[in-house]
Amino acid sequence: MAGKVGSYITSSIGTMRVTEQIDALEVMGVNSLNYLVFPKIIAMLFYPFAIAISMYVGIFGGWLAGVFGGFLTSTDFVTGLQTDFIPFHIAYAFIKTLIFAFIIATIPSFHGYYMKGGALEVGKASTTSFVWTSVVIIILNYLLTQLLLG
Amino acid sequence: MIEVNNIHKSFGDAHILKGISTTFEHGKTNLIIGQSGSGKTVFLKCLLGLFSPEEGSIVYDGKIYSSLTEDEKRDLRQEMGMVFQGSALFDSMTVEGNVKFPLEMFTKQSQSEMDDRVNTILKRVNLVDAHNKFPAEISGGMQKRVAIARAIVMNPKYLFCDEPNSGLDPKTAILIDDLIKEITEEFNITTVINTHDMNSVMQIGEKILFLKDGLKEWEGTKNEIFKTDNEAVTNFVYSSDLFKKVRQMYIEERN
Repeated sequence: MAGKVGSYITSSIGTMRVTEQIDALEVMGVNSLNYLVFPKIIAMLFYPFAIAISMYVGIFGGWLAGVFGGFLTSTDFVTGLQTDFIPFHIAYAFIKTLIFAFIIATIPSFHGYYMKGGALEVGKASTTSFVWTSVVIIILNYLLTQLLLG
Repeated sequence: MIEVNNIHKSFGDAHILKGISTTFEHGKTNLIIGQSGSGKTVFLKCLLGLFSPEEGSIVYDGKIYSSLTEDEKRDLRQEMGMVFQGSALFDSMTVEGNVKFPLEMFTKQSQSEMDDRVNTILKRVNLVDAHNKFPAEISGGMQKRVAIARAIVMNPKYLFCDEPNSGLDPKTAILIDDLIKEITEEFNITTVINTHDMNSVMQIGEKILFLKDGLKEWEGTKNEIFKTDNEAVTNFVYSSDLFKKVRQMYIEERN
């Protein structure tokens, strides 16, 4: 997500900066930071829905592979799924997802919005934003895990 | 009317504008000329409020820009239109979307009222069949006309253009110059154009401001530019053989 969505956000906002589209917004009296970044933050806050779908699809895929691959029965699968199940892990996943979504929306936006230079710098900004987003997510992942499950 | 009083602007150690004062009158086409690096674009961006001068003031019809609140600045900016050097059209919007954008953001007009306004303005800039095209699908000259349409759709009091005919062929450049001149007169706008195209100077320049090394070196009308003895101006304006001959003919004609 940091690579795909983050790079897209940085390069699209960065290109707008390079081609003076952000200046055009400012001259019109539009708060460009708000106009460009806020909708992305809101959109990314729907990220837990994507995670919920991926959880469902993951479990369904596991069931398909397990049952139709002849490894186990449906009953075994459901029993295994429920054994040692801790409901808080679902909340934990969604809390992390929300925070990561905020990171994926804001760090690339920052690198795109405040970039300087031309087309070459747009590429550099995308790479830098990807690196920083990944690093921040790894550190926050550790901290959140310690805080929520420690 | 825009009054500029002794503005200074620096970036780090580079002192770009070193105290420029001038006046841009209402309903006139004012041109800023000068070599690359003379401070034209920084000066224009100061006029637009994109850069804040460290010293001096810019007064828009009695309103001192630096003393306005953020909301008042935003309101004032809605009275400005800007045509950027590279047009700065929004890539993700069609021609119609680009022109309609300021109306959607700042007016409470109905969809049909906005459509009417967009059609009128696009017709005014001679673009009638490009409503649904994206900026990447139209020529540079058409992009400039869309940029002009977007700049005037809100009936601005001030129109700023940064090298509006750069990268255009001579015929299209003349069309764009004429369009800006006509719009200035028709809508009674204060127009300020940043250019180093001498054809524009001769064709539409009612007041010309020549910048050199961040200072106002000369100002006057296009008739006065033929007569000036200012060496920096003559070296810049008459650097091509064609313009040297034009000036010689003008002087001989007068004598």
